[in-house]
Amino acid sequence: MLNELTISELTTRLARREISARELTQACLDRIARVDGTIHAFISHNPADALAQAEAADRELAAGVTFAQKPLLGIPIAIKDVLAVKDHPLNCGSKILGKFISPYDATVIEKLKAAGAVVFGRLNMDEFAMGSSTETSAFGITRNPWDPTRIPGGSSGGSAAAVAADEAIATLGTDTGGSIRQPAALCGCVGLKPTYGRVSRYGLTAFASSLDQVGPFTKNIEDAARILGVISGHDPKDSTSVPVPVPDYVAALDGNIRGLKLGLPKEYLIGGLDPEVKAAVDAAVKQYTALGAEIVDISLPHTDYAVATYYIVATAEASANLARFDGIRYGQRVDGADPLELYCRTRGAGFGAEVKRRIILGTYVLSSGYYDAYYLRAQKVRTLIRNDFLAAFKQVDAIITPTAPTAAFKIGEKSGDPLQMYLSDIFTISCNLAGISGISLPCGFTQSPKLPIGLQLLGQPFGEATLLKLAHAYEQSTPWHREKPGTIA
Amino acid sequence: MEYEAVIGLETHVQLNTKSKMWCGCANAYGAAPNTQVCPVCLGLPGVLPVPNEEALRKTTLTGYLLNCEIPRFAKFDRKNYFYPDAPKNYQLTQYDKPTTANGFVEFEFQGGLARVRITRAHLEEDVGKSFHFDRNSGVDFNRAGVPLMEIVSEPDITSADMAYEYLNALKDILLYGGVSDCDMEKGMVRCDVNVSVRPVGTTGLGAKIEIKNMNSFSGVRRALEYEIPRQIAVVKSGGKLIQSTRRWDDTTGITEEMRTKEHAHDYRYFPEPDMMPLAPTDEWLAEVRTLVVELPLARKQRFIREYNLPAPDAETFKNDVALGNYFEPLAKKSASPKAVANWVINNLRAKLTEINEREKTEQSEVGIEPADLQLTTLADRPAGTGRPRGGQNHQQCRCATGLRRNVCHRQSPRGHRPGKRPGPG
Repeated sequence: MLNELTISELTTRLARREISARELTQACLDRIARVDGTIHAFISHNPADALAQAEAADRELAAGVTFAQKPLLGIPIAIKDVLAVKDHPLNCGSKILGKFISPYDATVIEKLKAAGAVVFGRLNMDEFAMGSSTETSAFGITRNPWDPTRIPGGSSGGSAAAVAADEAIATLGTDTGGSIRQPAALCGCVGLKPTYGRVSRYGLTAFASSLDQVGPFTKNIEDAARILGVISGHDPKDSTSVPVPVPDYVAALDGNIRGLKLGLPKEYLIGGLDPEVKAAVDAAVKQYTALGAEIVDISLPHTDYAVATYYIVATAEASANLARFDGIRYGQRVDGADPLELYCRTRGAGFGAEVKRRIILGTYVLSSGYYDAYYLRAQKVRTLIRNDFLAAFKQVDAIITPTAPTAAFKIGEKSGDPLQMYLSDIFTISCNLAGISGISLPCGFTQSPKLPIGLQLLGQPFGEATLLKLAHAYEQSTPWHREKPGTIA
Repeated sequence: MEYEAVIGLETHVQLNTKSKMWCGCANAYGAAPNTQVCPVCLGLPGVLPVPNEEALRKTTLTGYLLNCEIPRFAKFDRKNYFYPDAPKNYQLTQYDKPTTANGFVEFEFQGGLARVRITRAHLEEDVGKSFHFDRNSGVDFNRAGVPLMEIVSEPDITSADMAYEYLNALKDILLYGGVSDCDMEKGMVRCDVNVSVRPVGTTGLGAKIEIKNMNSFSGVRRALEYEIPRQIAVVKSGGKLIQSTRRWDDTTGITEEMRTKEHAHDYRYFPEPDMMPLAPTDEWLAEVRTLVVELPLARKQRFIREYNLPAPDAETFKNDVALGNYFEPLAKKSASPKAVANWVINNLRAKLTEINEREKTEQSEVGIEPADLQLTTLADRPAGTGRPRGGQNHQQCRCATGLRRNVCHRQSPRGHRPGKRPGPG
């Protein structure tokens, strides 16, 4: 089936005119029709619009446009509901935006379109990207393609599930504390969080501005390299994007990792780590040794403070970022006698419990008299956490860890216990606090039930090429990425 | 016991940049509501601010003109509060690391020189404008995101008149620097007044009372003329003043309480994570320094010193920049600058006024370069030998009758139009 193929396989066949972009998009749409009733990766999608884009791609292919000119020509890529796509709905998994239609394209969307991609669909997510299971979405839960009684991870649960279930060739998600890597691990696909500043955030509805990054979900590492090459680069509309040249990430995938050093942080081998996850990561470490990489024991001493630091910084920024959803200019309004009543009713009805919890927490840590003790201190600890990583990267080329402490958990298992939910991000959030790059890739399965396990590699700031090279070498020497979930009812 | 007032002013000035502070929308007054807006200044989901370099340049230039330090590190912060005219429900401003700090303004006051210290001149964004109709309200976001500079003075002002003169001096400086058009009618200058009273001879500060959002200098003076005696009366009668915010009612001529300290906002300032901190380079600062102009007071003093002019003439040339610029080259080639000043002020300006009245224009250019104007011996007569008489003036300067409109030259050689100083009241 065309929808099961990778970008490299598809572009070869499209270039030879063996298949059309329309057939490919139709294959994804058929798959969605067949399985998304169960998976619910998509909040909505517009088949006619997707097919029209595919037909336009076919016309360009017929006119001789090459993949050197448009590297994603005709490739269907679905989008997390937090990214603005012109004339498409934008809800961020929330009720509060009502019938909002974005009047503009996010920079990453402009770049995908310029590269010829068929940009389609609104992928489900935790409300405003706040969650680790996609259960806080106002549009219903998304199910894990490997076991529909389990969560797909979050917040980009829809993005991960859609790739794992072959409903799209690739998807975009966003990662504030692990929201790309953790669902990629739990759904058994590749998820890449670029260095802060590598990819423009313009058009990404902010959860935590200093932590958010956009990144791809793909079926393999090479596809992630292809998409990263397209969406990266300085954007004059995002002054936090960095003018570092974009290397040829695909060319970096030469398989030669001999002599590269991988750091194994002792702080990540913690009590809550599932034995099967630990065994899979240990095996991956051995595999890297076999491939010629050197394993170095390292320490990231401030790891223990990462979760607390994250929930202060992220919620503080969120409390301001989400203030604009007030019912005045757009979105769903619940009227009141005066502005205050209008705000209270609109936001009371529009936001879910997790979003409210984080807004209250963020408002509290910024309040007069508490700012120094919480926000200011958290910023200082954040610097220490970053320094931990920068010191480690003087010794090693990348850091190897589990992505998540367990495989996918049951729907409802942690949704009543916010703290347990927060701890499921324990391995991923330091990366965002430090602003470095990270990737999750499949490294095995639990026995019963068979659920994917993710391996996380953390790389230097702007070290994505090395990260992808390391991930690619491992992937090509293991069978995990070729496994597909069984029949989805 | 005698009491004195302690006054500090926060003056908000819209910068006359071409575009808004964070986006490419036009910074222009008077367009139809919500026609100069885009996703960025409407605060749509996903947008990001990109600082307007022209606004940063004009704020830094203001810093130089106000004798401020320009720190090598500045940043923007979010000031959080909900209001329908605020598109993001936070305002971007500079809280603890402003672009300029620690300056002063000097101006003439009561026959001497007064100095008011400037705490800071920082950059922020303007908000939209609310309109209230019979059954509903509307917001025009054309103004949202217009660069707004806030100039904060130290509490060095001691009277309503001094506040008024300070504001006029500040406005002259901003006009000279070309950073703002300072059009009060269009709301380009707005003031918050902080005023307290204390027994003469003491140095402590009384309860600070803020009068918000004044939009005319005469309003500031009238509000203070009301508020200072009010506070003194409260204290003298044994009452206690508490820190509070008051509103000035221009029609009734009184101030009334809006909220007290207990109800003060907690703005929850924190550094804006969507922007990098500002770190001006040597080259950039050097470039801004080339824009520094002679200050109005310095110009007046120099005209008195160099051309031996009486103060009123120098004042005229301070206020009418184009006229002064016309006078200067003539004065340099004259043995009697005073006589030239008389001719420029009394004859030339009168002629311009006459033309302007006839043609309903605000023409301020003479149309003949000073270099092309030949001074006769009469105008060269040494100063003090008697004021030239009306009938002779046309013969004093050849070409004077050739005075004409020159539609191409509205800009003065310095690159800015002469500002009209507001009349008293």
